[in-house]
Amino acid sequence: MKRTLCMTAAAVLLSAGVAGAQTTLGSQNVTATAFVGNQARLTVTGTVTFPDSDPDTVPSIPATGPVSVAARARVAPSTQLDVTVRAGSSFFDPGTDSIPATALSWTASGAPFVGGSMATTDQSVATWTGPANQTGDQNYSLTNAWTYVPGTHNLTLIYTLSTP
Amino acid sequence: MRFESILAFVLLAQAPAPASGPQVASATLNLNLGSHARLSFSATALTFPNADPDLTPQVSSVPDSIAITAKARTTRNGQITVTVQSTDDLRSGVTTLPASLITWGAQGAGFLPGALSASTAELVGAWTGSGVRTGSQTFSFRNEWTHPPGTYSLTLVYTISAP
Repeated sequence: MKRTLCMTAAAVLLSAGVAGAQTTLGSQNVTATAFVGNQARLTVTGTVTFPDSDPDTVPSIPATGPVSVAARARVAPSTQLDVTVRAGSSFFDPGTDSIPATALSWTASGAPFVGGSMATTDQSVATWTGPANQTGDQNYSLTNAWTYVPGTHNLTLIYTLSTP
Repeated sequence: MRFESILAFVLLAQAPAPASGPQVASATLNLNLGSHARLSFSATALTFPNADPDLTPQVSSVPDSIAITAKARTTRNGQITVTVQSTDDLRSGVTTLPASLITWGAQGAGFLPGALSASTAELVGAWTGSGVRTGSQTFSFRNEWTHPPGTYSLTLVYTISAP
């Protein structure tokens, strides 16, 4: 009599997923908070030098280089910001009356910077609304006159960044 | 009589021999394993302090990094992914800043750097097969002069997925 012996192999089955489709298995939240405060900085660079010139041939002396103005302010979107400049005295070399500060004028490289003429009261250099990082150049000129006294003359210019 | 004796002998020879040596038997074992996953974090809140944009153009978060542990069980060669998406842009009242101002660097095998988005899930890490993966993210906030002042918040939603 022939006997047939059967064996059953034990099998470990793993569930098989559908290839290609991703299934969300879990999630977790993280909160992020950024604190943005008011900040402001005004930087003015450059040396304004006017070379000696013949008043008949050079009635307006351009400066040898521009003054670069960088005005940065982090303010509310509706806040107006002004950059102004004024002369520190009525004349070059305080105490003298040879060369008036009003002999200075400038042109600007572009909006929001504007041109103007010097005075001992604040004169607009740039104005805008909201937070910004503004940079521009001023190109100064000096009205040349025969009445100026020869020598080296200096004038201080005071720049201000402010809100009205 | 002789016939009966012979018959009895034959019958005895065909009977099963007594048991000797190891006995073998079998049983069927069924083990059903499902997909499982868990994400854990060393911190669930980040802050970026106020800073001068000229001095600190990229503000590091506090804490400076978050350790992430991703545990998942999946099919052999299955792709496990962790993604993150913000629920909104950075918001302070009605004022918003793009979520993409927040970026991260990554440490740990399979973890990837990136930038946050409110519109798409960005990849944090990807691996093949079941296992436990650990790494970390270091966050930065791009600090600019054009940001209106305020306290901006958003929520990052991390998701772990597998086939």
